[in-house]
Amino acid sequence: MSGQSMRRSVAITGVGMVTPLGLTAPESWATLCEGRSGVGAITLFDASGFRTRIAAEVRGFDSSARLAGCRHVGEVPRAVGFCLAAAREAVADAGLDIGADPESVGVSIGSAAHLPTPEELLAYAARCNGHGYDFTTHGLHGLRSEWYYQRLFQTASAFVAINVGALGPNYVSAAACASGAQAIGLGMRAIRRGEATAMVCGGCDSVITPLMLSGLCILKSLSRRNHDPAGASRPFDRGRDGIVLGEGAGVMVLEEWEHARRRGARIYAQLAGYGTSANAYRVTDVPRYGDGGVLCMQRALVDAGVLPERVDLISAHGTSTPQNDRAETAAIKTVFGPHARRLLVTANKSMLGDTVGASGAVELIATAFAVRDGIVPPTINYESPDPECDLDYVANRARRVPLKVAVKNAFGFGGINTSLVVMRARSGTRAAWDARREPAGATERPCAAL
Amino acid sequence: MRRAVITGVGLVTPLGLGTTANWAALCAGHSGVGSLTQFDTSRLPVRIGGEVRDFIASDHISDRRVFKTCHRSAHYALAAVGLALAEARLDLARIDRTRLGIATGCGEVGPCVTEFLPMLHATLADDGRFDFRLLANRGQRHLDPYLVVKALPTNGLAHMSIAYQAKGPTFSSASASTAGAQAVGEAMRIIQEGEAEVMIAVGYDSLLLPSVLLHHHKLGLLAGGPGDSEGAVRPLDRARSGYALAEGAGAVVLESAEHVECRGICGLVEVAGYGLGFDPVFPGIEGPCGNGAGEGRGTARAIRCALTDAALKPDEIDMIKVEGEATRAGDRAEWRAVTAALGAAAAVTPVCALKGAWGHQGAAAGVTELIAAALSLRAGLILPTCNFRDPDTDVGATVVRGAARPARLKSALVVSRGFGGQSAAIVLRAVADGALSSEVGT
Repeated sequence: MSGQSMRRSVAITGVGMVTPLGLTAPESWATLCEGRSGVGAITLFDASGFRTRIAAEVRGFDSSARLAGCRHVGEVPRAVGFCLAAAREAVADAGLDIGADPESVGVSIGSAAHLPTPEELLAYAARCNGHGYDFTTHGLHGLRSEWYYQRLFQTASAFVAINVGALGPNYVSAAACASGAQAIGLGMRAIRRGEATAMVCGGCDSVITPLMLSGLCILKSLSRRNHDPAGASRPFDRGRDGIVLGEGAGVMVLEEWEHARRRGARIYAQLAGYGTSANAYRVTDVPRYGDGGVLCMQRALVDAGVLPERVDLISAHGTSTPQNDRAETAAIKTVFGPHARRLLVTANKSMLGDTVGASGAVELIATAFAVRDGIVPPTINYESPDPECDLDYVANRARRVPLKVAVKNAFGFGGINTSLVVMRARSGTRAAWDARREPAGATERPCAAL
Repeated sequence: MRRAVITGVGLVTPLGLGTTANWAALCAGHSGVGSLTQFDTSRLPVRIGGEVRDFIASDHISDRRVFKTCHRSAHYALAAVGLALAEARLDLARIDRTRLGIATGCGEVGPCVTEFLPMLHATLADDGRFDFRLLANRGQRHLDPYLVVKALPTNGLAHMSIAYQAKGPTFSSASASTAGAQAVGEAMRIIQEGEAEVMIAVGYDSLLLPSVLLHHHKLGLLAGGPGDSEGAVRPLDRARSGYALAEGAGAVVLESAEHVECRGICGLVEVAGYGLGFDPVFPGIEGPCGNGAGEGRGTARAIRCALTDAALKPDEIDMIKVEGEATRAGDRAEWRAVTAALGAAAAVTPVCALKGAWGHQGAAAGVTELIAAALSLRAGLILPTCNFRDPDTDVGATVVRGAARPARLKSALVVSRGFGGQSAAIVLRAVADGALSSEVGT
């Protein structure tokens, strides 16, 4: 194919967010820059008996207004509602007319995990006779299909595609905390390969539920800083003690560069690189030096054709667990060498909490804003340095600094990692750095079997 | 552009474990669908399904932690991957593990609702209310400590990567029946684009949970009232009435053509084309795309893209493996899509559907059914469609009855359509000894 050497570039042309920091993308971005925490006491249910009683909830989401006219079945699951709202916002923001060519536009949405609701469990329990279910007396009456859709991973991606009217490639990304980032990486690849002109990509999750909270409390992965909700998520700080749950959705419109330019779309930034890897270490722990993180950052940089020294900012996975933040810091040092001391590292989860399947997408949108505006949101609650985390984490106050290249990390449970590379869109310069380099993976590779 | 070749396959299905057992049963037109034994169905409206029988996880999995921390379907997946790697005869010691990646399509990994009963008993207040304080104080103790871990689709992927020290690229999808097909398609792309030399693609699922059964029944998608068994699932047939839920896993090992050549083998089949699309129909809602909805416009797009990708014309396809979910509307919409994409070639190309033989294996089906098509190409045999008797006017396909029929097969189209609307098409191409070249001619 003659198109190989002139690889298509991918532009971010629309964004939408529903997060604990705001109900739209601009609102969420403004709050991130102010350095405000979205964490508080859990209000979605009575969590007063749990070890962990805090989370970053989405507040004030008016689903009837945001989802007016949407097609869906029955009551929309909370996460899917956030996702539909964010997708609408992103498509409107991009000004993209999907109806003009529905088959050329795809959807790629990720989420992490789904458990049954207490309501569904009760309905089944009522029909259980000790050994098995008895559906002869009550029948299927009262068994609501929404309970099932709520648990299916593909619901969000399907509902978004139906509502924006996109018949192109449809991905259901399920890579735990990397789900949103993987969804965006897949969307970028689909455009690059010419399989789609535009992709509506992102992630959503709402895991602040009684069962999920129970399950995570058992695993002891959550912060117990209940007395100080706003200070609970403290990535890279010595006092960090675990994840603070969040919820929300982030969706962006990715578009083939020339297509975006021709129709005069506003371009937030270029999405230039995607890399994945597996730690192959332990399911519930990360290797001390973050080997898998090293591999996926390197792969994303190679994919983007960018030397490590060109990177100005890393939007860290930064979960605020002792293990992740140490390993991620070590991985950054390995990838960037002496340059690690010069680049900036920021952890949006300090304010957003861990929005799980949405995090990769929400934080990537924040990275696109950062690159566009030249503002790095802070890592808040950074008070006492950890000797093993000794980079510039943009402590507590946003910084204004020109940025050209940024890397977004998202590391999923079990060591399934994703990194993305975002570049500033320079007016008049097509595909900035892309044209200089061969596509990833040179053909001269030796045969591994020899 | 580099080429991706399948060199080993692994099957865990209701018809048995491994290639030999499954192939013999498929050729003979046997069905693995029967009465469910894993739970009491005497008071349920549906009693049949495709169970994996005689599966002893410890025969296939050495890491004991897997038994405690993984959902049953992940056990099938690990077993299928082991079988596929053994068949590929890959010497892992000689492989760069950073160039060995894994792509998975994962289905139902949630717990059965009955597993929550002890927790519920401790959590219900006197008035029968679900009491969150009681959950925290008492009920929580009755939960599986690995509840959340098991429910994450990356759990199985993580265990696979650990078992084989695979640090290469990953892909993790959960798009129902299409998930496995996407895993194979993305693995092919990863090899084509040079990111990995060897990829393992696996689809796994276990839909045999009372809650899943009831929901699918309620939606009118399942065949077989009480009394029905093996013959109930009749894809493409005039009297079709739905599918039977099943379980299992399929795994394939893909290698770059160069890597295959270096090893001095020719491989099983080449993955030559891949395309995706979306049909905007979700049980209960239809999309704003008007007549695109029931017509399978997204599936037609997927097929067209896969053919273009493989540089084949419709009349160059020698057989079609359809999703053939055996529902009235599903088979009709799919056939319209096939006809829209292939034109006149659709009616004369032999078609096979496998839901009658294996039941609906969910996310596993995308890989297991692709493997069946690959074995067909290799053997030059078109598989019979189990339980097919009378053609339907809605589905004018050429279907093989009874036993497998010999044919000269060079390429096969594999179609997958998922619950939710995601669809994928893959084109497989036979590889002949010595005919494999590592580069497509320019």
